[in-house]
Amino acid sequence: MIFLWAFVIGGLFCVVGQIMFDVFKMTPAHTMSTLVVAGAVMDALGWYDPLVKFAGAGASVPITSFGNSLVHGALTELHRDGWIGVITGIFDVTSAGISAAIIFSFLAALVVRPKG
Amino acid sequence: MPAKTKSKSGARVELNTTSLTEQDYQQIAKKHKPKTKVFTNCLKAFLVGGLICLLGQCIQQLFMTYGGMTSREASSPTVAVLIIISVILTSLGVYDKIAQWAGAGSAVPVTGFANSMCSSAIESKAEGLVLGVGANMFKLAGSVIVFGVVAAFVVGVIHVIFGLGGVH
Repeated sequence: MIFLWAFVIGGLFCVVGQIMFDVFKMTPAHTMSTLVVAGAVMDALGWYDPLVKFAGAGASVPITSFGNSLVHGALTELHRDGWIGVITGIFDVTSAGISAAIIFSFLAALVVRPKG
Repeated sequence: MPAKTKSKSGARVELNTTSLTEQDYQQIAKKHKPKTKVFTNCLKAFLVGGLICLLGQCIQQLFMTYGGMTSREASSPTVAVLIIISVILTSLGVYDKIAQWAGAGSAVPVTGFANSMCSSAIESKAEGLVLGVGANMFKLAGSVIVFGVVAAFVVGVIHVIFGLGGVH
């Protein structure tokens, strides 16, 4: 069942992005930034965790989960280490995503020949 | 003045019902054309975005079944695997073709984030490793990271000010 909801909820996130592209004429950068902030706000309100529990990767794969993870890192370390955790914890959870993207993009750039 | 425009628009409405001038036709066509395009675009985005998330769910399930991880532990390696797949597809030039068809369907998932980084890194290779690849990798992804971090900081500060202590 979680596979179905992953498909549906993940698809719906993309529809929201497509509507921002087509109807509101936003650039990809504006759309992605808005979605990330939306994810952060949803986590702050406590809505994102239930969604992840319900839809699995449908909620954790779209870019909104990036905002959610940033807030999660900040709040977890705030709880553990006090106010300084807001600064030190932000990249705690998202490190895997960002590091993997940097490393593999760099390796790809070394190997792949640009087109044209 | 208002009465005049009212009668004018009234006459036009009558005209619409009886016969269509070319102008009226174009107006109606213009009104309807983007709507259907938005719908098909949304459908494509839904399908591709949903499939990417379904793939993510399958990978996550593999980590949970064979790696003995909880769903929360498995989400980070899942994202990393999706990013590797996205980088490979971008390098082969496949991801851009998918993106042309799927629009936001391939841009919103984390694979689109990796694609934007990888493609700007490859495109700017000619400018050198430091000034090209290093400096341009975050051209698109940078704004996502900046606004995400600022939003997370604001939420954290709100928690500090109101003494919420970071507990959910």
